[in-house]
Amino acid sequence: MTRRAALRAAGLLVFLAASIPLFAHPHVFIDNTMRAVFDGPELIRLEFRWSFDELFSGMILQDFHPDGSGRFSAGQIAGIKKNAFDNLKNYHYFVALFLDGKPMRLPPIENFSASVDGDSLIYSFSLPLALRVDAGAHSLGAVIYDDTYYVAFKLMKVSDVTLVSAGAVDCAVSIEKTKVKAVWPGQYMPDEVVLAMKGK
Amino acid sequence: MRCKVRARWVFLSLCSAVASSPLWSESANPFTSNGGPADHALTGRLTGFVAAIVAAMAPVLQVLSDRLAELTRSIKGAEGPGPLLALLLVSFIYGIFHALGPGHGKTLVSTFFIARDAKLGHSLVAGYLIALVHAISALTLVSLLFFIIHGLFSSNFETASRVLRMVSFGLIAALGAFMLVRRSLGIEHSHSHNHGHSRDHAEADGHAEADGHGGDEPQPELRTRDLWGVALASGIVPCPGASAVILLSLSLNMILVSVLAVAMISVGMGLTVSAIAALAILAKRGVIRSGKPGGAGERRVLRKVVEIAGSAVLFLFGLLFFLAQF
Repeated sequence: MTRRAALRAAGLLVFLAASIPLFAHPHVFIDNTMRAVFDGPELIRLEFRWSFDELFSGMILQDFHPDGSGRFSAGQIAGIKKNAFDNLKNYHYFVALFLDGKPMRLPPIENFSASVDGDSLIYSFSLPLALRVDAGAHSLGAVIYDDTYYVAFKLMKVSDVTLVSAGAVDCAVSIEKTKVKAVWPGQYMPDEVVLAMKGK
Repeated sequence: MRCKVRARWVFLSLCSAVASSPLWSESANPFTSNGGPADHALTGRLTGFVAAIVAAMAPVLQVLSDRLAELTRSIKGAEGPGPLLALLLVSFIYGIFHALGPGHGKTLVSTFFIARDAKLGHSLVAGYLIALVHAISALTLVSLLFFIIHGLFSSNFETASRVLRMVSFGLIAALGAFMLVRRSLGIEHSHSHNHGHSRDHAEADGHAEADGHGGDEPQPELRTRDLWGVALASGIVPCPGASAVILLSLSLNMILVSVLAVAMISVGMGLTVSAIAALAILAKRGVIRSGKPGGAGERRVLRKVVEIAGSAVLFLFGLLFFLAQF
């Protein structure tokens, strides 16, 4: 290969590489924390708390002004839900659940609320479950991810997951590379929060 | 052997145009839009190591985005010019990185330059025209929604963006169709200009193109005003990031700051888009030159193949994305 040909090849390679969106840009950033709430030997719900980046927060706060102590009225919360949350039903609320490795139907969202913490908008909601773990060992996996990458979730740490009233079960929390590829084949998979539970 | 090399060039160049096309589109905001995600066959998926890099970049973008918000707030009531200068710097960096993502006209501009001859300098003009249209579009839309149209900003912004996306893809399809027809039929500019047809500088190495087969010849020189179409088609959809910064400054009653910040974001974006456009121009030259030893005839065929393919890609994807908006 002559030097010129090599240069050309290099040029086109750079071009090819540049055409790939190496830096796709999410526009909304969320810090997610999760609480697993038990009632005796039963996991009764998962609670999520999403803290938004300041720019997205600013846009929503432009439409809904909280009072001096950072609280929204019930009417405002209903407005936020209608205008900037309900459409997530088309995105399975960015949550996918797996029971013992098998995809689970997403239960209806409950207890949506919105608040403000400093300059950040906060959403919270819960997913009701009725998972008895006294019968044997179970593992519940939760993958929180936006398929379209408009929203970026910060990778979670074990400390982002809190267990509530889990005295009657042995529950180990871990963050794993999700093994379940069936939902989004071929795609980069985010981390999965895994609750490994066993009756005492 | 030479034939093999040439085939590979054509193949690679077309692949690159097609491969980057599915990521043309800014997608809708899942929170404030109406409806579900676009079909993945259309928006493209991130796989393998690209996805890993993307995931690694997210925290950097988040920091930049949060810094923009903080700095904008800190300007209010600041004594010196420090926070403003910092905001301008962060805006510039944000523009560079942000424009590397989907949207912002990178694919359109590179496909355009594969379909159309241009000087290297045109990449800079195109990149900055797109950035200019992008900035004006964001400033106009946000101001309009903020000052004049009352109601929910977030929903109105999403609706307006959707309409502008349709206009944008419609324009892209029209541009592609226009170029495709002209290139396939070999129609040249009928209004020839008197800036002395410097012809194809890329090939100004002595090969005469005397045989007047309209479509086989290099096209007349590209003029800056021809680039306005590209800039309008690709820049008209406002960048959600820049728009959020403008909104924040306006809500803090700092109109000048919003204009300056979005100007700096655009300067950064222009840099990225220009660089990609320049690479497209160089790639096309590489392809056409690779047929050189066979003489002018071979290069004409190569040129025609590459240009028709580029126009076809513009047209088809513009149409596909336009229809996908419904």
